[in-house]
Amino acid sequence: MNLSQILEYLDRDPGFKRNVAAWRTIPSRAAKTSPIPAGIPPRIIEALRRMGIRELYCHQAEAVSASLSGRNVVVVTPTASGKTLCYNLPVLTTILENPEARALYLFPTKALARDQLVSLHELVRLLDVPLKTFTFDGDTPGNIRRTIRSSGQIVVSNPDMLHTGILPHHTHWIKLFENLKYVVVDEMHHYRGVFGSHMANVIRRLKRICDFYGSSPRFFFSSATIANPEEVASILLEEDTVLVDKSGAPAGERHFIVYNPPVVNAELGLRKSVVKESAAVAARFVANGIQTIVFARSRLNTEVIARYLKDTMARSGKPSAWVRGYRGGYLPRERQAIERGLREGSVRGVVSTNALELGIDIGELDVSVLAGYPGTVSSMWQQAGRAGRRQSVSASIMVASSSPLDQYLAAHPDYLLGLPPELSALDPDNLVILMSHIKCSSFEIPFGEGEDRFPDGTGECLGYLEEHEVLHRTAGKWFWSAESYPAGDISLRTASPENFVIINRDADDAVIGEVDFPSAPMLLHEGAVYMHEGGTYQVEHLDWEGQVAYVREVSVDYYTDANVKTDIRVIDEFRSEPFGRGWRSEGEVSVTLITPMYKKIKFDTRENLGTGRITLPPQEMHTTSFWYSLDPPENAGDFSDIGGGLRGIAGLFQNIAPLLVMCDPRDIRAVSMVRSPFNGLPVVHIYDNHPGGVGFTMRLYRQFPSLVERALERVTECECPSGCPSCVGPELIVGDRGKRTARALLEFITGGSNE
Amino acid sequence: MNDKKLRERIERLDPFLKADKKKRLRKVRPAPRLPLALPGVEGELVSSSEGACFHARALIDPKNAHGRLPLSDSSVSQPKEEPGSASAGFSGAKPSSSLSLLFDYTPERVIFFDTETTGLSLGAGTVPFLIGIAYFTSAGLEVHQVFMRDYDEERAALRLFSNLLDEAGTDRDMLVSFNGRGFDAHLVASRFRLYKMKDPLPSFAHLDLLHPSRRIWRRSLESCSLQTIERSVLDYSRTDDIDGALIPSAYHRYLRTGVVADIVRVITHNRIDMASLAVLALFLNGLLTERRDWTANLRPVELFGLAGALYSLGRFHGVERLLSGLPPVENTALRWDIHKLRSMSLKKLERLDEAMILWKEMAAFTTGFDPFPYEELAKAEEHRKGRPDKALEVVDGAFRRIARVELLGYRTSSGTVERLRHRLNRLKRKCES
Repeated sequence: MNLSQILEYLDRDPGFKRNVAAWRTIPSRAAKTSPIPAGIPPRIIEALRRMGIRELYCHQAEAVSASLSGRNVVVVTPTASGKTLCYNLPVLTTILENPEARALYLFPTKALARDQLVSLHELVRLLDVPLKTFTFDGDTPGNIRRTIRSSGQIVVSNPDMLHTGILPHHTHWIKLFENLKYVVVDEMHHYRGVFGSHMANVIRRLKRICDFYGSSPRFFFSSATIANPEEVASILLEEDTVLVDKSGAPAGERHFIVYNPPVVNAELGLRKSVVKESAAVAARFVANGIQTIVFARSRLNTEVIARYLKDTMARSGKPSAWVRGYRGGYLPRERQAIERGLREGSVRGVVSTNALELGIDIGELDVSVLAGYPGTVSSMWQQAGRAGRRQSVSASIMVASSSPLDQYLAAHPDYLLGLPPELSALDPDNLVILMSHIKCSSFEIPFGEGEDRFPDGTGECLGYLEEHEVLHRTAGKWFWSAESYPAGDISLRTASPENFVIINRDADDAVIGEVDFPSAPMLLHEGAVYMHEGGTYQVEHLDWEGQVAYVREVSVDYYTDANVKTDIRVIDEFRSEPFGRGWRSEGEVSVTLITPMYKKIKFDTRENLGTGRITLPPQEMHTTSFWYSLDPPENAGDFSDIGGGLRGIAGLFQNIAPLLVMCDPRDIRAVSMVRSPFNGLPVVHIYDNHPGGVGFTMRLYRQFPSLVERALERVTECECPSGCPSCVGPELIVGDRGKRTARALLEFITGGSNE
Repeated sequence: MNDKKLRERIERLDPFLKADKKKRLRKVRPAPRLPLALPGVEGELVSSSEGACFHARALIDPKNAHGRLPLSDSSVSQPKEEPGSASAGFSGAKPSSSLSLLFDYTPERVIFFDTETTGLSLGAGTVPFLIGIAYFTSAGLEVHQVFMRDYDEERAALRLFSNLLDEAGTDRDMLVSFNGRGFDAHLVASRFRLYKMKDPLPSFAHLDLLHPSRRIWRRSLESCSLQTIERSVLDYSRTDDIDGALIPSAYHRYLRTGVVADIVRVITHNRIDMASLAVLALFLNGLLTERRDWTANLRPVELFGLAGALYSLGRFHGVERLLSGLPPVENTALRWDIHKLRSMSLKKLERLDEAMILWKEMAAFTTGFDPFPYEELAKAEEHRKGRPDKALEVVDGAFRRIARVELLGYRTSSGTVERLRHRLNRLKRKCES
């Protein structure tokens, strides 16, 4: 069956239709074109003609004209709408006119950079001019680096390489910096949170160096999904931009289905598992040879779904090699083979974490299945957009999990489909991040007084670094005065240090994967079961200092789940005011995470098979937090199980707050305390899950009323008797009176509200 | 946020700011006065419109012993005759390579060059705070060192360095350094670019002694640092020297305290480095030109390294002279390497029969399997001797060998087997026709 036939079949299948919360069909759209703008040289027009392009889509023409007239441009149009041409045309035009001109292309990952170069090369080949485009990243061999530095006209790289490999060595990139005309920042929605805040500072450093060499490049940003492109571009760039967001590209018919698995136990509010249901939905397509991507919410689920799909293929006589897993932690070689398999069609089903959500070139797929709401609207559209063709039909199916957020969205699909993508939040002036880049920038060129590429407060930072003997001030300038190489110690992706590597002792100590630092205590403690490509491994030894975990292949029927205990101490209250029956506050906190133990959980039944102890050092972090302190009078309502109630509220907040402040759920954490050491009151904290804070929870201070309102709505709507994963959390966690207490507390808060 | 608040936040976030040396928080003091002179260092402050910096000078008697050798040796040897090839014989090495520059080494035409820096990375934040050059004049080894007393003197220091180099360069055309191509010259180039000044270094040929030193001592010394070579090869020991690794922090400390004692030691250190360069260049040149009294003391592994260098220079007779008299060595890997080098050299000298004897020996004594001797023998038998049947036997022998070592657990790469099989089939066809 082809995809249209399967969709028709599903539409008539009552067993499937019963679980469909929403089914939208987006009709196909015809192309809207404009003539190729004036100013494009005949050579390029001829090359375009040979590619079969006689006119541009209207958004391309608009972007090209704006860029050629010297504006900074932001293009936001759907996947596969020809965004790269929007910047390739002005760049190539400029370089054809002046071969000395240089352009720098930045992609969030190495893989993306490589992919984009392929399409650029195609155009250059047809142009028939010896244009020098090079990828410069960690894999670039030493002997051609010199060539790239002196003669690369278009240098394709990533922010990390710009940060550690180019900017600190700017004296060897003089040709580039003196003649830099364009900087292209593609996939800009990626630059939010910590990474975005770093990126804004990398751009400050870049512009500072351009100032030094007397160039002032135009910038070009692009993305397929971002709600506030102009705002983000202006934060990243600190200059004006012009927005182009009316796509003229054609699109095939698209289906978007929200699927809510059937309830299996109304009493407990239990639905069929999102993992199994997603796998079953995906299997219908994959078994028919239709290229399908499944997005899982965790590494573990990736493995579980991949295994399930492989088994299904084997049972129905299809090659199990049709199905592959894909996630961070796989080695580059493995990943590239999978990407190639997708493009060439030898892989029909891929199960991925959000690693494939970005524009890595895997061709256009037919179907995407989202195993759970991915946490943000923009991720949802990115993942859904992985299926989509210009000419033929495509479908995306989002399978709801039993989390409160998913259930809320499944109950209100109109709300979900009407939501704009998240406003990307980033805070370039986050102190930890800012300080890091002031160090890097000082290393590159000494700071002088009255410089304005960095914000107010930079003087204080320079003073601090001077006192700590990192900088040396002389003749009105701050000189780098330490032996170290600051960019080498600073990662743009996180505020924490290096990844842990996982070594398989049963395979000649081969490295089988990596885990980031914050996840290491939870995933790699001794005794942990680590899953990779469907195989199970047990951690035999964790070398904490060396950041290496040694594993052996094991055959076990359980996985491990570590408990994390969180301790919060308020360091400084920035502001606080009465709200409802209590106070809302924000400030700076110290968060300590301890991982004391783990549980062994059976694969199929989820039964608890026992526990183990973990002895790893606690991790401390200073960050910004919002918190609400309750002040219940002695006789106010039934708060006898206030602990469970608060845990329930924290659970609700954790799930709903990301929707309000528009961040990834992992960017924030909600934690409750029955008696805060700060004020002795019951408190719920919601803090930025990044050292120094990135500004997400700051937004909650203002939005707290709607947070409480949404939480109350959720807990009231949910039909379970005493707590379920779809509202306050399972009874196991919140206790048998947890749900009732949480609701009473929320009503108590709003009841006292003046708003 | 006001400045005081900001300041407090900075202090609290301290553990995350990763400032170095965070434990020794201290208030900034007014910068110490710059020294006008350095005790025990001859030289003076040089001022110009671009600022001031310190110019240290010294003259070292060339007859001074620097370990086992004097700084200068009038008996710099002349290359041995090399029949059958040009006297300098650059068949393998590029004319500008360190080996060929070293082969033609003429002390009167070179400038020794070494810097001391504020850090070890090559980025734009590492500054050479002391740049030294030295060269022979009729009076002896003349040393000039440019010292920047603070960061703001760098432009003046670069200018002075450039002028000094110009002066020295009127009748000299080569720089001699240790790791200077990879580090010092690279860094200095970066500084000139930063100040938008012309870098004077590229107009000189550059002989970096690190590379030839590595060829000879890589396998016999624990490291190939200048200090190790001085100690182990030149028998020179420094007294009261400052450890090179501590130099960056010594400069940073001086900047903060104004105490110059360590700087004086750094200046001495830099001077000794350049004197060592002079002796090492002499010594390496002696080895390359096969000075018997010096090569006689080399260990087999060092001789092998030296012979490899001669091979690159196209001095195949030299390879033979060095290696033919060598008694058999214990270490099989080394014995293999020596045989291989000698055989290739003999092949170049058209002494094929001798080379073939070595290949046959090699085929006999390896423990695992290496196709080299078989392929060489097969090629020689087939193309040079016109005996494809013999060549076929050789390749057959290779396959027998592969089968045998497989029993012992060695795996031969599929590419190698493929290549041999191809040769075997071709030879079979040739023999049949």
